[in-house]
Amino acid sequence: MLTADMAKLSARARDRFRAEHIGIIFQMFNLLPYGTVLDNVLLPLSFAPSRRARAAKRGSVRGEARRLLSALGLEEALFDGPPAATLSVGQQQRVAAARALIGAPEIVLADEPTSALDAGRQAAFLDLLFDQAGAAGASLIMVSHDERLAVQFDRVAALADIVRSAT
Amino acid sequence: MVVLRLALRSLCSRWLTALLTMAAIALSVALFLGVEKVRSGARESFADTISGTDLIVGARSGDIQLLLYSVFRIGNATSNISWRSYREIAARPEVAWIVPLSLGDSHRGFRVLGTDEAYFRHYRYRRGQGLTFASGKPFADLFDAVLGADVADTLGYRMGDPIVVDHGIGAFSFSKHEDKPFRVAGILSKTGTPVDRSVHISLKAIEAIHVDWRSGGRAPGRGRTADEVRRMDLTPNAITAALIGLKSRLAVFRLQRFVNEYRQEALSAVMPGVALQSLWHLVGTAETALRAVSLMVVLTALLGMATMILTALNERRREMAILRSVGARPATILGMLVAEAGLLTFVGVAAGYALVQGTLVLLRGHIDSRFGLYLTIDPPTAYEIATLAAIVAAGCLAGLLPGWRAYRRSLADGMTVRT
Repeated sequence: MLTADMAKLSARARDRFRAEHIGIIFQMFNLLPYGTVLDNVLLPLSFAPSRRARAAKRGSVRGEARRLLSALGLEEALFDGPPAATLSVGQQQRVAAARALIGAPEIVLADEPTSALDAGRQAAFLDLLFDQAGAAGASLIMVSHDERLAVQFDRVAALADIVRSAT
Repeated sequence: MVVLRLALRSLCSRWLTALLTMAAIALSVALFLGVEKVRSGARESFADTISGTDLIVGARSGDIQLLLYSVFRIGNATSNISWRSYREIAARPEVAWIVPLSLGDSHRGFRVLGTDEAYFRHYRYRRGQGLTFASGKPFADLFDAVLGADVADTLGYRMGDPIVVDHGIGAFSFSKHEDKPFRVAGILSKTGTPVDRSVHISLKAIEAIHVDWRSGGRAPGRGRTADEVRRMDLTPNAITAALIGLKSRLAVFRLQRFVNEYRQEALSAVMPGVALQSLWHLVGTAETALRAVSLMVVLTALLGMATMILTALNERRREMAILRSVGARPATILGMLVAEAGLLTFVGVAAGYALVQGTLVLLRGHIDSRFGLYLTIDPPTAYEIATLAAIVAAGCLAGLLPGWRAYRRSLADGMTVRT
């Protein structure tokens, strides 16, 4: 995977590559509002056959989705129940994390996933995220304004250092 | 599977617009199918009304007019055939049977037809079916009447009931032949033709009720009673038209020429099939126009659907972007929108079809008795299936427009929340 040059791939292959290898947690979570929790978590697998195959290794993909959601601390009752739009921010965040982690993609990109939480819950959520990313064997790349979080990561890069055209 | 389920859920979250769109499509399809149904039903009704008659003879006029007033009881004759001419034509060697028809009076909106017993023997409809009596028998007495099925049904007449013939035609007549009432002697079985809406009396009875009438009004002075009239010579002076059956169909042109070139009187003879053909030719343009209009309505409904999906696209930018972010390709999004359009159209078409069939089941009897249009409930014809499939295909095509727009939008679009 690391040998692939994404810039050289066709648009179609790039879409496929992204779906297979990268799970993304957005700042605003971006769940489909009318979908159930399970639908949202299972959605990426529709576009990534090898992630689906990996997710199915321990039984069914639904079972894997349930395991991830439980590990992230979401109540069982919500899995197949109300549409995602009715969940609280904290709950939506866990669903977004489960969606990024399912099928064990090599890279998990997180864009300020904790900005909506207070400090105590931030730490708890990060711990969960680290645990699950570790279990899936994924590298976690996170963008954040909060420098206190930096100590928990192996590598830290300031945005100014990596953006060449930064003014 | 998940994508499909989410697409359905997305549609359900916009259920009101989706429902209205489907209703518009359903109504337009129902209109189209209804027009088709009425069109073919009218054609069949007309074609089925007369069968086995080789020539219709009447005063000289257009083929269609003669056919309309003599067989369909639509419109009026311009003039009559004299009894003498009628006798002469009847005596021709080619003629196997002849049925005189005398029109011009009515009973509470139903036409009264003066004829003779030959009518019940020789009149044929729908591939050669003959008239049968639900009860009673042809007229025996001068003041006997035989009712068509709808007349008896609508007015609630039973055997032996007295009825009064109105002078002239029209639902409300001011002059009535109330001095000479008739008795219901027979009721015919339902035929699905204008016979159902006719009151049949004998030619002599037509003469009898008009004995004291001069040019549309009752002559002044003492009218003669029914009993006095019975003793009179009631041979008619004239009749309106006559139906003729030939011994050999080969003779049809010979007799037609004889009638058309008849010296003493201006007469014309038409073959029912030929007159029907010219009628179709006449109404063909109107039929085409009607069909074109109903197809336009279908087209409008499909455009409305495309507009609805296109408008919703703005609200759904985020949904599309989310799908893209989890790996959906632009083609998947295009497919999703086209499938949505196809599904809406398909359900709309199915609902429209069900609507027409349901309406037919509910209103068939009413349409038959009110308009004399006998509509059948059939499985869809090949033409209908082809048209409905074409409409669904056109619906998918209409979905391409919003689909293409969504396709063109970039991944980043709509991702940041602007609400």
